[in-house]
Amino acid sequence: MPNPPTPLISKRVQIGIVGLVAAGLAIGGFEAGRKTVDAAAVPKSDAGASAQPSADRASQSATLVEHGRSPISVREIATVPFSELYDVLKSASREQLLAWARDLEQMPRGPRQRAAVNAYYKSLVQVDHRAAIEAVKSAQNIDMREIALEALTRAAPESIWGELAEALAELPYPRRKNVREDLIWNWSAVDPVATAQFITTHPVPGEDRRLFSLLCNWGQLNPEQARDWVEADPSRQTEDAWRALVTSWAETDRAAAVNYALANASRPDFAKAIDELAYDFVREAEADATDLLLRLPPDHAKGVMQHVAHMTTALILGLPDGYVKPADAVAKWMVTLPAEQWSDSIGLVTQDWFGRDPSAATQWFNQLSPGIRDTALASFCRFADSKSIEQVVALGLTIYDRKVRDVALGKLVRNLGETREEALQAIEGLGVGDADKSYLRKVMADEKDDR
Amino acid sequence: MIARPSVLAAVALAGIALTAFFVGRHVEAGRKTSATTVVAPAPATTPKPERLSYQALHASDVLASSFADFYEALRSAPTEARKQWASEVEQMPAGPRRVAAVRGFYKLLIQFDPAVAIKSIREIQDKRVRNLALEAAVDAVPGFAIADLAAVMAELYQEPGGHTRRSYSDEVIEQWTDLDPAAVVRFQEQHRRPAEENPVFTNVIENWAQVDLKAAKEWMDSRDEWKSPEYRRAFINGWYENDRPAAVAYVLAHASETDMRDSVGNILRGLYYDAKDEARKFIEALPDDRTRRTAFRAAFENIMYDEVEDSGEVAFSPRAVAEWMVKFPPAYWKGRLKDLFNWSGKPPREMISWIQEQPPEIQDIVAADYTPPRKATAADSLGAVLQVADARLRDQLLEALFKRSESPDEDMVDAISKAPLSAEQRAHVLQLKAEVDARPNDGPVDDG
Repeated sequence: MPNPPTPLISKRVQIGIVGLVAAGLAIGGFEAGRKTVDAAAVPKSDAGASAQPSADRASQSATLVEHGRSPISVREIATVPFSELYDVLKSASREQLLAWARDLEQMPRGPRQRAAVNAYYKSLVQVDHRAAIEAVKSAQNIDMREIALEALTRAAPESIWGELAEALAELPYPRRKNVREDLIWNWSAVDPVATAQFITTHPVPGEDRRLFSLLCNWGQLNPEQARDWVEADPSRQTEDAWRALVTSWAETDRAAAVNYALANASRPDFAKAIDELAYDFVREAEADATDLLLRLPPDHAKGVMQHVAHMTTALILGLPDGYVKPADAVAKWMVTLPAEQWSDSIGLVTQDWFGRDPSAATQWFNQLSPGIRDTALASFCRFADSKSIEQVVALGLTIYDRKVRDVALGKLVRNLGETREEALQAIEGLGVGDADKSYLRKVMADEKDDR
Repeated sequence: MIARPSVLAAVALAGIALTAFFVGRHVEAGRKTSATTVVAPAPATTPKPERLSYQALHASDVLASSFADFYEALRSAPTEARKQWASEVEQMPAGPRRVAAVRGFYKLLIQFDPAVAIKSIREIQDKRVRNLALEAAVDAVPGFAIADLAAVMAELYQEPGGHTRRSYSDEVIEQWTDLDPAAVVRFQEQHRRPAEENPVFTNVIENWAQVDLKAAKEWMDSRDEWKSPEYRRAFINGWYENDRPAAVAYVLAHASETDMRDSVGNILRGLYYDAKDEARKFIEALPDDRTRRTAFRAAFENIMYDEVEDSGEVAFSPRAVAEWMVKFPPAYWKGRLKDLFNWSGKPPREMISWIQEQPPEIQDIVAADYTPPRKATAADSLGAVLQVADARLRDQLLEALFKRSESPDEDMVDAISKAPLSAEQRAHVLQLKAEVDARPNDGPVDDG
């Protein structure tokens, strides 16, 4: 049997050594435990960083967001709620954002691409407008760039218009679409002074259509300031600028706008502003229209009335529903003014009314006082068209004053043909009695009326 | 069994080591967790590390605050706070700051919570503010909320009485059309105005045919809309994008029909842009020269052309189109170059030089179409023609110039009087002008 081992050192020393080892193990274990947390944190950081992939990885990554279980690519961005998109766009690197923009450029043209580009830039301009601007600047596909620009100029936060305007001023092909003017329109609604300053420091060749956009807003927000800005530089005094200033001024202070318009009526390029102001009043405030017309020189008032008649009867594309005042209402307003102002124009308006509702128009003529009725009917005859010629002749024959009647109907029948011969033949074909035909031949004017 | 003391000591030491390990791990983990909670990593795009509390933010601050600040605050705000902001912006005094606040607030809210945004807009009493809010919502509306916004626009939006650059009612439909044309068709049919014959916009049909040809065709069939030239044309445009060979084959088969004129032109223009070889084959496959002339006219007339410097588009510069046209027999394009010359943004001299370069067999026909560029002055236009050495060609060009110049007559007379010409030459030029003036204007263009 072997002997028990013989201790080499004393028990006290042994206890001391064990104590030291225990302390060492405790410290070592503690530090080792801490280190394992650091080690676990490293892969976590990597995972966090993967939300900001490198340029190479970005260009390969088509996935924008995991929606439920399915990954959604940037091409389907229009279906992603903004709250989800915001976090994704906010955490993505600049390279990734630009890579997504490039991917959108590669989509086949059409509604899907437009929707995706629109949604992407609408969101991006809010989350990181500098990235959005950079993406637009580096776009190769010009058509897509236009869609992106439209989205930017719609959805941009109100605080970045100036920066956006500066950036877009550097883009090539500024005349594509109307983005330049749209931006000025939006910006000037919230800061017309800064917008005006930008226009001043960024002149454009040719007609500056930005002036119209600026002054439509500025004229409403602070007309005196807008007026002073226009007055300060003749190059700003374009026809568009005047009409935008005066008509938008009238939206907030009609009396002041009218006074300004009347005081400047003879300036170059100003006439259109008064025309438009008058038509706006006719549509919205007849009493103000009457006041304006009565304060204008008679010849000028006649010209304005012609504009009102034109606006009432012309087919103008792009006007909102209900913009044009009905012809019957305009005719009724016209005859409240001196006849010399409307005698040249009311025929166009009443012809329009007659074309829609002959019975109401005839009834209205017949309740007018004789002098006004004759003047209105004479003008009505002048603008007769071939569709209703017999009815117009019938009405014309009821003009009380013989001289007025002869002239009105004489012009009407002369206009039935290019030559006198043609006009005479046309009289023969009219569905009126022989006596009336004989009368019409007798009074027919020598020359065609150019209306 | 009795354990030996050394084994017991070893077990005890191991226990100490393990306990220390886990204590160390726990302590470190706790430290890290508390550090993460206190200092959130700043997002790459947000310069400010500290997030604004919604309580500290007023809706009127929208102009001065960054989007991120406002958005984060809005996101963290309870419904009551959002309502408070909505009320705040409505109560602001009229002016640019209110415009900015309303626009900024509703641009955000419509993206963040469209239902709340629309509800809030409905509650706005001031019509001007409500219109502003609707316009802002149109500008920023996300795709999934467009249908609801279109409905509220149709109900509440009032078209402005004064000048406006934009039609927001149309814009919301335009955006929706790219996403879901079928839904737009249903919407527009439901919102048909009295006496409105065709409530559905043609571009909706075009988009629909492009993304879902079958459904669009079924709609056209079910309502017998083929008789409407506008819808038929729109459908064919979309079909071309969806299935080019089939659309081309259909148009070729119906090319002689009168109301197909525009579609023949649209297809030719599309093919010219997308695949010039196919365009050539298309022209050759048309039934006769009359249809070919019609096709060229419909494709390339009444279009606004721009120089590549202005548009970035090479294919539709006036010169590029003209060069492609004249490769075909003149019978197809005679008379069609006038618009292209007129839209040229180059100095008059450039187009004149191009005419001089044309082969003799077509030069007269090209010269007969000459039209001075719309932006050129009478003096520049005249000066360019007078530099042509060939007397016959020069007279031809002078006649074309006098016939089609848009400059006031007095400007042209003045330019002639100031041109460096001998008395004899001036008399000749004036004689040519008098002859042109005495002739009747061009009659309607004959397509066949």
